[in-house]
Amino acid sequence: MLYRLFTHTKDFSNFAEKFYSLKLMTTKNLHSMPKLEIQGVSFNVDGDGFLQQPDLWSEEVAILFARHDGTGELNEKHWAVINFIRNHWKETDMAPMVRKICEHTGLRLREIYELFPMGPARGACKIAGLPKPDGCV
Amino acid sequence: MSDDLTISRQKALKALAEHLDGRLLSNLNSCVHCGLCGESCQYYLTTRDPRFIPGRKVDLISGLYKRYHTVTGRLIPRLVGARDLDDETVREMVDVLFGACTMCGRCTAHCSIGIDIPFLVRTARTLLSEMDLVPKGLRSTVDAAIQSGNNMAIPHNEFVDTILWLEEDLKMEVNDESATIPLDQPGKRIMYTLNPREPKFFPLSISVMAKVFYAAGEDWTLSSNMYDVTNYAFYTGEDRLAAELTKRLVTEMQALGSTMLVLAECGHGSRSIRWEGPEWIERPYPFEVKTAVELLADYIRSGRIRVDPSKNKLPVTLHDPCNLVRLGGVIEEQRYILSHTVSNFIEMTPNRTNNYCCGGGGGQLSMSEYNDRRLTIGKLKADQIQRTGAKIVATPCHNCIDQIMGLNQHYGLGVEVKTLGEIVADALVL
Repeated sequence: MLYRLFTHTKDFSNFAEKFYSLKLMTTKNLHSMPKLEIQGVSFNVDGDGFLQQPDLWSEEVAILFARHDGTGELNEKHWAVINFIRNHWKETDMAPMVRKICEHTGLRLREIYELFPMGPARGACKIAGLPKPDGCV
Repeated sequence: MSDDLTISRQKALKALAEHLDGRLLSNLNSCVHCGLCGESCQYYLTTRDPRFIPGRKVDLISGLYKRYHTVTGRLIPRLVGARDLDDETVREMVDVLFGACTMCGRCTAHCSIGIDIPFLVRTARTLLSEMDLVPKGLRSTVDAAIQSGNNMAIPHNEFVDTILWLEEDLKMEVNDESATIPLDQPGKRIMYTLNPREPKFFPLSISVMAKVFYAAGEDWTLSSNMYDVTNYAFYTGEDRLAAELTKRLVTEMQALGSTMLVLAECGHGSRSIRWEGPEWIERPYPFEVKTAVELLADYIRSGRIRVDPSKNKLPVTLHDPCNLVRLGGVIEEQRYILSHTVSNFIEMTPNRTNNYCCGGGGGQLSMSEYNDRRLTIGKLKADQIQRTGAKIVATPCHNCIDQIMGLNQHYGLGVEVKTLGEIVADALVL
């Protein structure tokens, strides 16, 4: 996974730049939003720690979020879930049903909860940069 | 009514006037400010912020009543605690009545007068809804239910696919090709409901209930059109929407011709459908309503399923969901179930009708704005759980489960959180 970090370093600095310029532009609206600071990088999140501007997501964000919420280092199985959730959301504006996550990644239901101790919503969807789903989650 | 009020505030006051019946008047006029409620409230106990004392919350809404409906309130507002519906009042109402109350009713249980404080909070939320001030996440949860038929906006085909997927799993689990999860089948004794988070993210609790129904030889079905046991309009105080959601369930029950509506393990859903629903739609149901907890207890009591407590060896404690227990009267059934399905059951203290809320009730889980408070007040629950030394927390409410899962991570409790259905399924002797 380390190679991802290196290959995306440039993207990451772009991301940081984009992030900060956006923050400056909208300081007035965002000043009361909660901030999540992980390893020196700060994110605008909602009260539950979901990314406020899902477009600012990158793989580095996922890595930082996963470290922060106790999911730990992300392996290939994690990435399969995260990428599927991310793509599904981009296409349909919805988090996928957990059945679809299993179907598309070939993982068993039980594995999903083991991979993401916070569950598919507060764990996987949050790491994938989605807004918080409605309902009892 | 003052002319200088905005239209939305006038609407709110109109709603207050319309709701002023005997029940509301007696609750608004009875507080003697003894302060006992403070020591019962999770928000006050964990923060010591006087704004969170339930009596102060009562004052907020009774202040409005005094200002706009009593002579002394109009003439000498300061002396009688009357309040204008001004910016400051509105801000405080949102912050305290949405953001600092789980409507758990523990204050009412300790109130020297017996004032129904959650009822007053809900009435105040009705006024805030009229002013379009419902916090975003709670608003969109209600809207999703109204617009799509379930509070997570799950598309119909995806729901059906998930049920079929679970059915395949069930056949393997019980090693019987004829095992099914019946969908939209007319004339069944039971129509079972779900919390949408089950098909969406946590389908295990559907599988286990299907397994128990299989073991009991139950005559049951799910509906793909209306399966949502939740009713978040209960939390926004919108009776019209709450009635709409209730009517849909009644219509579906009648379309399928089931005689018993069984409510999934959901605190506010059980309370809304069972106790509030007939009030909202202004007529009694033509069918029986039972919670899954009562049904599971019935199965064990009647010998319809066989269970072996030695199959669940880890120590288990039980969390009592407020809406099901303190406010819903289902108190001993869950204990009966655990006494027959686990070998080591430890009560947390306090329990039953004096139990603390998990901290996620009242719609708190859907209101991200108040996440920090939700985790802060959950400290009481986390401590309760930790003191039992249990490895498993059983609770018949999906909302409580999510909150306790959050507390588990936040406070490092190292427990597993399960529905009662999961516990019973683990103990099943097929």
